[in-house]
Amino acid sequence: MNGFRALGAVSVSAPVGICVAHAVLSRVIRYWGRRSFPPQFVALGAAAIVLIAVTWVSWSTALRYVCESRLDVFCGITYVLLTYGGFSWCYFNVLNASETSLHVHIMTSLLIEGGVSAKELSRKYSAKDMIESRIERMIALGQLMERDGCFVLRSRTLVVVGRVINGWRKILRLRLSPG
Amino acid sequence: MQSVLYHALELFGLCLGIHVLVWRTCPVRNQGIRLGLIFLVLPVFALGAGFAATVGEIQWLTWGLGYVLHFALSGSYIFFYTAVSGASPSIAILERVENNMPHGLRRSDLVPEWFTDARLSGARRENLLATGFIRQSDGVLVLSLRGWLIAMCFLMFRRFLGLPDVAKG
Repeated sequence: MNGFRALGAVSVSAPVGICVAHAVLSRVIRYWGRRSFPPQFVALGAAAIVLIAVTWVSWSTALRYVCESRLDVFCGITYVLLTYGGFSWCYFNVLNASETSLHVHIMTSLLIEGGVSAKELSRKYSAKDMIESRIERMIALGQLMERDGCFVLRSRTLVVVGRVINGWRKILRLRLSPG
Repeated sequence: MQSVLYHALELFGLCLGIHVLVWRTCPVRNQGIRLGLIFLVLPVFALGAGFAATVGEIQWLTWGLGYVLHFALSGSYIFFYTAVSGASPSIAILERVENNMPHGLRRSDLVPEWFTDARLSGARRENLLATGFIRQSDGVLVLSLRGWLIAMCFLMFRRFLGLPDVAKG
């Protein structure tokens, strides 16, 4: 039963491990002079590094003691990977919200600057400026590229994600697009 | 380990099924509260009932580990659902570009018609006012206590990671 306790402790503390690894990695990257590296990529790198540590610690402190057959080992490793994957995805989304969510931007700006009038806020977060920064980010993330004065797709990853989202909207009977 | 994995996956599958059923049959209001009830509160009762029925045979640690996996999967789904229920400007731009491949689009044609100040920042501002994260005082928008706490968490998180206080957008 101690193995189960250890496995629970490792699983629950994994997001803290990702956060610490991310903080260290982003400072190392900045030290090397790569300031324009997207934080989402740094988070993925940190999650990959911590995955190795989590798998090793889970095996050496828990799985090798509680697993009694090959199927048990398979289920144990699947458990670790699914739990870690789930928490990593949550971490990635929190980071992404701090990067891209307009709700979070507005609240953080109000925290730093104090009160702001609605007019000033609309000027600061105009649709034009938001689109410009999104285009810049999609180029930095390798989704979009400029060729002969036109923007073309460099990767279809986010387009596929959009299709999956639309498919799930159909299943839930939600509206497909605000447009 | 097999029972831990199977219990967790069965529980998550059951919650997902209930969620789809509820969303397809009832008009969806208070989506966040409903999702929390279905994915986080309901399983506690289900696990409690399962634990009570099998006490003596399966240790509570097995059920606890099962809930940890269920919690990780549910958290992932709830984050995914925020993308499902809202509109993503980035994905909308990429879909427009994809429809015009292989030539692509000029910068002036990238933006869909519904990208207006009212639909983007205006809608978010109204939403923050309606949910009580910000309030208006003498024509000026300020954070409420709840909004201040959330904004402070994000600010501390970004400073811990060594990122600028506010991202570009």
